[in-house]
Amino acid sequence: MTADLVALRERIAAITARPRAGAPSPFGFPSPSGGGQGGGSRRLPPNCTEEATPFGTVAVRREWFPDDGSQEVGALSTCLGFAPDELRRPLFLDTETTGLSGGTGTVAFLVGLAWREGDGLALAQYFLCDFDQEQALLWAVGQCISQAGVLVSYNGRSFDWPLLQTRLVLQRARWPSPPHLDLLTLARRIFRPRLPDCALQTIEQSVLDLHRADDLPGSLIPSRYFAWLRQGDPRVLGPVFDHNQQDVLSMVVLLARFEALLGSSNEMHPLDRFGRARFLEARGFQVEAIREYQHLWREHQAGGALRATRGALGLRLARLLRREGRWQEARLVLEECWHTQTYPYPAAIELAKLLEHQARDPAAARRIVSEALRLLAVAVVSNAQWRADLERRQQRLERRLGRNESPGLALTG
Amino acid sequence: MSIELALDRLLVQDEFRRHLTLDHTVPARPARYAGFPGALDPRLAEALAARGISRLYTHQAEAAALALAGKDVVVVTPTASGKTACYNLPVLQAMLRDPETRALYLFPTKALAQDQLAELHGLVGALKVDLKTYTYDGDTPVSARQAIRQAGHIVVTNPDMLHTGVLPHHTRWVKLFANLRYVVIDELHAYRGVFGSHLANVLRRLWRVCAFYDSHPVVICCSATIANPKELAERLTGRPITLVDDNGAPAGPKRLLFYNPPVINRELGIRRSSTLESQRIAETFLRAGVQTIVFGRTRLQVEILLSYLQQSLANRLGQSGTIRGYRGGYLPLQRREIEHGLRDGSVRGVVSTNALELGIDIGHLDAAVLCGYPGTIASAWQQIGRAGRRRGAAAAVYVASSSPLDQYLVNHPEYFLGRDPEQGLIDPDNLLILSAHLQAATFELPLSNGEAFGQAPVAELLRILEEDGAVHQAGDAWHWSADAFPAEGVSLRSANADNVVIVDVTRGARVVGEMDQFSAPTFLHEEAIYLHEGAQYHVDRLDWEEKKAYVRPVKVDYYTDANLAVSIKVLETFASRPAEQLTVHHGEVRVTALPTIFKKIRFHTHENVGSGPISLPEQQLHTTAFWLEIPAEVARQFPRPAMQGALQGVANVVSQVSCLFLMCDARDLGAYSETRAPHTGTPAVFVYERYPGGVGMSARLFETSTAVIVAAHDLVLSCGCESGCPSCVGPALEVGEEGKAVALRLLELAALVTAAAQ
Ligand SMILES: [Zn+2]
Repeated sequence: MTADLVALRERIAAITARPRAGAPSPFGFPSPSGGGQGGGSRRLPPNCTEEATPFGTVAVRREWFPDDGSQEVGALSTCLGFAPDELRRPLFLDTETTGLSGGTGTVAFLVGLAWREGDGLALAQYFLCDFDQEQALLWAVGQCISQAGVLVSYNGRSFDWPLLQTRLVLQRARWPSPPHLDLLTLARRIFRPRLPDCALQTIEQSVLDLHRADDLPGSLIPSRYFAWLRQGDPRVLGPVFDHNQQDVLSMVVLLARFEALLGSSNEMHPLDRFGRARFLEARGFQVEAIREYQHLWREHQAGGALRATRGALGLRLARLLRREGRWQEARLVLEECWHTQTYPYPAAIELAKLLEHQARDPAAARRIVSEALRLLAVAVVSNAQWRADLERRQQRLERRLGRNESPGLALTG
Repeated sequence: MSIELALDRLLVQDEFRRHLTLDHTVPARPARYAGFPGALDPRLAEALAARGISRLYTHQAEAAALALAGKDVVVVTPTASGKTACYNLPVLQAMLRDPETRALYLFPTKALAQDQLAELHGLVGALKVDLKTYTYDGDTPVSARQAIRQAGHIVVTNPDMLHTGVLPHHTRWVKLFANLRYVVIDELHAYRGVFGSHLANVLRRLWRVCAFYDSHPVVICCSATIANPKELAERLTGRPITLVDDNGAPAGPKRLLFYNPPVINRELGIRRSSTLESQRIAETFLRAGVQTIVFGRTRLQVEILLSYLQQSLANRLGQSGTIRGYRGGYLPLQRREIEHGLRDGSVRGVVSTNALELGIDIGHLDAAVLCGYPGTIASAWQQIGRAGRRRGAAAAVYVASSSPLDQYLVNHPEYFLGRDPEQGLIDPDNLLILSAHLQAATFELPLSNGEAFGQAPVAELLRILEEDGAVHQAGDAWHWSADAFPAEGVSLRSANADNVVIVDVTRGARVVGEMDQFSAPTFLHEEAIYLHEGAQYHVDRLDWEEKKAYVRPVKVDYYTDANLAVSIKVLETFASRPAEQLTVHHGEVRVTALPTIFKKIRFHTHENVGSGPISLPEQQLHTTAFWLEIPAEVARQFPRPAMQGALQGVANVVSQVSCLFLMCDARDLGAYSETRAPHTGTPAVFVYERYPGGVGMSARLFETSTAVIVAAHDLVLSCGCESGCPSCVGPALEVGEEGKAVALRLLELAALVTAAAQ
């Protein structure tokens, strides 16, 4: 609102002068009286029907798709710790909202849901024709959620789910809380090394080879809903429903893709394979992770697609090997990193640790540390954290060696 | 013993004694105790006993008992009277009874909140129960916020955070709101003017959210001594409030001296520097071994005082390290260090800006020296309150500067000692402020048809918001319907959304403050010296299109003063009253201001040391004003040139005195005079509020106009200058040779004091 007091006063005066009581709304909307009871007189978006709930009617667009894709869930359930039975009953969820800033004034006006039904996929998009139908909408969505084995979303953990929880508090309602699989978390782990970002559309294009035509950008969605509220024109909503449906269907495809990716690393892009190995490591599958890292370490000696990540790969491999007690192998990896100057300073730090504690050769450790510090001093981009770590290490090694050397000198002298 | 010695050393000097305008001893006040409230939990009594408290002062007991009985209360608490017990006791008692109980503490600044938390931790620690107390503000790490929302029994925050960080996300605070039994508002007197008007609306929103979760918290407010604590608390909270102002804390006798530095140039009204005089007096105390605190008005002044004192004491005593500076921005740890040094005697003196005056506890000293009037009587008493132990004598010396307010006060000590006339004024129904918060409220919870929000025409405002696409009516309620977060656009500390943002270019483009569009051309033009929290900044560049002022910290011995070409149009007169041959009015005006040139004016001497042009667009302000109108037949008695200067003089002095009465900053008010006001064609003097629509100050000026005008008259009458000086109507060069005399006559006519003066 304008901060101009005069303008505000003038507008108040104009409104006060206007006849108001019982005046019809300029858009021909009847003023509904009470919790969405006036259902019959409301307009509906295209292809929507009204369904009854204990809290009045709610608009929904339903569709059914044949789905002959694999419904295998073994790898996902092993890697993520979900019960296979839960994963076989996924409920895909995606919301469209009146804003992205969050807070109690942001409403989910469209909730897209999909689940397996028979040999196909059922899609339901619950739509809020007006704010006073929210209780009915939340009830209907809650019915689906109570049937779900696992809730599948894309960024739902930090966006859709908390937002829906806020709506529940405001409507004094409750839902069960099924296990939640946020595909964004998984996508970040696996595709982060290869892709610039992990937005769903990026994943669609670069991983699933899906390309949307005439998609409505997400940033325009709130204004479409407000246009519907004010002008009641159902045509503005078509692209919103389509956008939401595409989001939900992409998740279905992506889940199946993850099952395949986690099951086998054959024919994967080396960067995805590196991401997959990182994911396995994070989930505690150390043996598998070492195997994958070693494979990548050997197969991509020359770098290639892995050139930029070879240092990070070596470091991860060495750390895992050392943790498994295989420090001689780790030493070889780190020495290669150091000699080829790939990611040299973290490698030097790791190598010094290993030489000091496992190989019990503090003099060699000191040599590496001093060399690294000498290089770091002339490096174009210095790093205060590495320098501090190396200096601390050097001091400690000096102390330790000094203490051990003095009696030695005394004996020979 | 040493305090008497030091006072003797001062009072034997003829020169010093002759320029005292007040030598008053505030008698010792015995402690008055009351037992713990009957139902006090034994664990709480034990914890207090462990901290050396075996009984309460009467006001603590009264406040605690009322709060425990569910009454909303405001406690007036002078410095160091144990105000925290007034709210901590009932809150902790309720928590011991029911561990689900939650409380929300509001402090005006983050530093005060931190300080309080340390104190609260001590008491909670002694209780040996698992009560979690947290601060929640802009500095709270994101990782800690979840735990605070879920588990914090006492959440300590500030109004800004409540406004943008808590209320718009209330569903994340279900535990807090559903179990909220107490809301504590400390430093109530800080919430006046625009800030207070905003807070009143934030509290309206808070009560709505509480009602949604079916909680009805008791409010406990603490205020420094002001004239209207009950009224301010009631306006802020929108609830009837019980006043507790019978202070039971003890105090030793205190000698209070007012010293007016001698005039060294009578014609121009120039006095000896208050900084040097304060230094001399503080030195006398310090050399006698008296622990002393010196208050300066600006950071610059503090630095000058500090270095002078350190030098002179190093030369004579070789102990410069024992005088410490204390400015805003000190960390709690540094404060603890100074406090500790004062307690063990290693720190002998502290030189401070008013950072210490706001409730922060550094213990007590023997003497206080006030270098200049801190702006409000409440602040002056708080500074004086720094000197004074529970037993033993103390002294406070106020050294007046040459500003009109200082000169009025030093010559009217009875005003200072009498009932405090300062008002904490707010207008929670200022249309601009209210409509901004109405949006935030709708965002937080849909507004039911017919639901009230203050005294606003809610239905009309909602229609406007609907036209603008911000709200939408569905069923029986109005819903927020825009992709925006309304609380974010509203700053509680200043006026509009279109504020000019002030950026310090030397510190990584850090934002140091903001200013409303109307005032910015006057205070933020290029080459202006902008004062912020006692520090000086030079305005390097003002980008009017982008609404950004780029500044850098400087240390200079001058300030800048912009000349404005102003015109005022009266839009509506709300009320009028005849005063002898003049009339006073209150109403709505439109002020048009075009800044023309600025002058650089040296501190203390007020000499003009430079000037320059200002080229910025004309500004318009729609606000409320108080004005004096002089009928043509009265104006005819005076020569026209004299009249012009006199009117300006009256404007100067009335606006200065108004600040004194209203407890506001000089920047909150503007003054203007016309020899031929457009609406009547006769001379008039206006005092207008600088906030669009005003926050109730001009209304209060109209109500108390006689007292204001009498005070202005007294100030001019008792000034020793011949024909005007910066301490009264303004320098003779500005108001003309006859300006002072005619101004005095006009004020007489306005104040109905014609008979008395002759
Ligand atoms: Zn004077």
